[in-house]
Amino acid sequence: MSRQVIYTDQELIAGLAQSDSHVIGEIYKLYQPMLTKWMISRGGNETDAYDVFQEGLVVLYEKSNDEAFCLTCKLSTYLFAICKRIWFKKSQSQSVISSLDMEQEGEEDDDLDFAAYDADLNVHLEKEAHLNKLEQSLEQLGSPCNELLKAFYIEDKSMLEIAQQFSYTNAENAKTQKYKCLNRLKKLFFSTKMALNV
Amino acid sequence: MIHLLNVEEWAERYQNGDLLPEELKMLHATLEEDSVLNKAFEQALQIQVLIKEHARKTHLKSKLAQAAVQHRAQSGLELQHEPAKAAPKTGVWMAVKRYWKPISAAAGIALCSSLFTYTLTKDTKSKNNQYVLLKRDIESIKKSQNQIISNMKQTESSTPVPPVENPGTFGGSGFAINNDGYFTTNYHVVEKADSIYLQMSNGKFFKASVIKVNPEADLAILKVEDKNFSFKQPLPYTIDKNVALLGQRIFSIGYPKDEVVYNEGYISSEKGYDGNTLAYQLEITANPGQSGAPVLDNNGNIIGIITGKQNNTSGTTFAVHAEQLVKMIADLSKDKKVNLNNKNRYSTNPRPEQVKSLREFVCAVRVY
Repeated sequence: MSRQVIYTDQELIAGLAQSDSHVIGEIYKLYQPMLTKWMISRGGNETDAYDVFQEGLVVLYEKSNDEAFCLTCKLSTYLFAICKRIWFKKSQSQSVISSLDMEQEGEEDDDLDFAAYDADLNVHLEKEAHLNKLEQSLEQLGSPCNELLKAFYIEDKSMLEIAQQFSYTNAENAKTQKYKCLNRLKKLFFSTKMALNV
Repeated sequence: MIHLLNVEEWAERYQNGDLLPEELKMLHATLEEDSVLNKAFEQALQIQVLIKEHARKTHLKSKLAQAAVQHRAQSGLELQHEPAKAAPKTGVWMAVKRYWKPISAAAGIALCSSLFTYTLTKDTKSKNNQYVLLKRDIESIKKSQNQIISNMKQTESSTPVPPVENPGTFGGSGFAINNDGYFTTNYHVVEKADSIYLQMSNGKFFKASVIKVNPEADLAILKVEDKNFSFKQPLPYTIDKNVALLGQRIFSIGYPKDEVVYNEGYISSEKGYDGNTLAYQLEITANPGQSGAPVLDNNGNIIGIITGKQNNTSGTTFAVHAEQLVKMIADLSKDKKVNLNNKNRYSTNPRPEQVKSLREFVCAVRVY
């Protein structure tokens, strides 16, 4: 048997805030099966359950980076409630599950403060909408700006590495190019209309 | 000195907290004077906040996806589909070591979010009271079904079940309008269909084609392509072209899942969604997949066909008048003449008996 580490809720949240692989694995182990069961009983499938769970963790991650965030209930309760809301939102837009189910659900969990979860979820959806738009703008940027910005921000490469990769004479040149790309990205982002798919 | 061509650089240094105190002072002074520059600077800041958040999220999602794959593998479940649909990046990015420092970024985010709150609220408002078509999107349950079917095949590979392999992209319900292969369902179920299969209560599939549609009433008449198709028994029900009265008790059977499902309720309004005079409003539970299911009165006569429901209530359902169907049938060309059954054969039977004879004539409609 491997060594068993038991995390507290606080440790799990802190680990998630750091994107700690270990902690994330642990969260999956602890809470994912519960969601899969629930989803299947609601006409979802396993893949849906994984999608919803992932999104739920992203919401929690956003909250965990918020200094004002203080969990007033058990982590599992929060996560599960958020996942439920996500699933309802999803199924509402696909009209897979009738609103009847939602109401029943509401009665079931009377004691939970749904408005609060919805607020958290809405903040998340707004953020996602922004990020989607950003991603679209990044795609529209095309080569080499798209790659350059990704190399800097996502792959976390230094300007020197980027200069070599994109054959600029030096890091300073690459940096100038980066600013030009950011400028173009800004223009694209603020000129395209927001496509809200909520 | 900051100017329009280097706002990006300034925004980056501002965010990283690299500005010297006198530079910061100068920046504030300049921005206060120049509103164009101020806007450009703000936007540059927002973009950089966003792209950093994008980077963190991408990184997080790839980690989550990894964890999901591992978890799934450990649960001993077969991995057929990449679970990380939400993680759009295919490559695993190098670890982001440097975390974004939330200096002054809060301002950027607050500005960003306040801009979009209005659109979002407006959006949800308009979604209230919407009319929802009840065709069933099978895509989402297809995968699990495929798995069940492939499991079944492994155990009894000798029995061929060819058309079941793909349960269709959409589903609805339908019912027979005469004895030799004419059926009806909703127009929205078969709209844009490549091919249509009807699955009878005994599980048999029959290919069908659309012979007439009426988008306004949301009705379509289908014909089974197999010329030898016919029911052994005569149709037990008639199609009633008189408009049923408010308060009439009704029942319906349809295929919101692979098994037939019975529901009952009453007519709650003589007009349908948004005052539609061709339809009734019913109080009956209806789920996606029940589009095209017959609505019957106490005697088992068909008085309507379920088309959709209101999405913010639990049981408000709409059904088009059977009269519309009768009109469509009367308008069919002579070579496709359908003689309607005019004798109700089960009006005095108890409900379970009625349903038992009825269900043979109600089918699931699979659309590819």
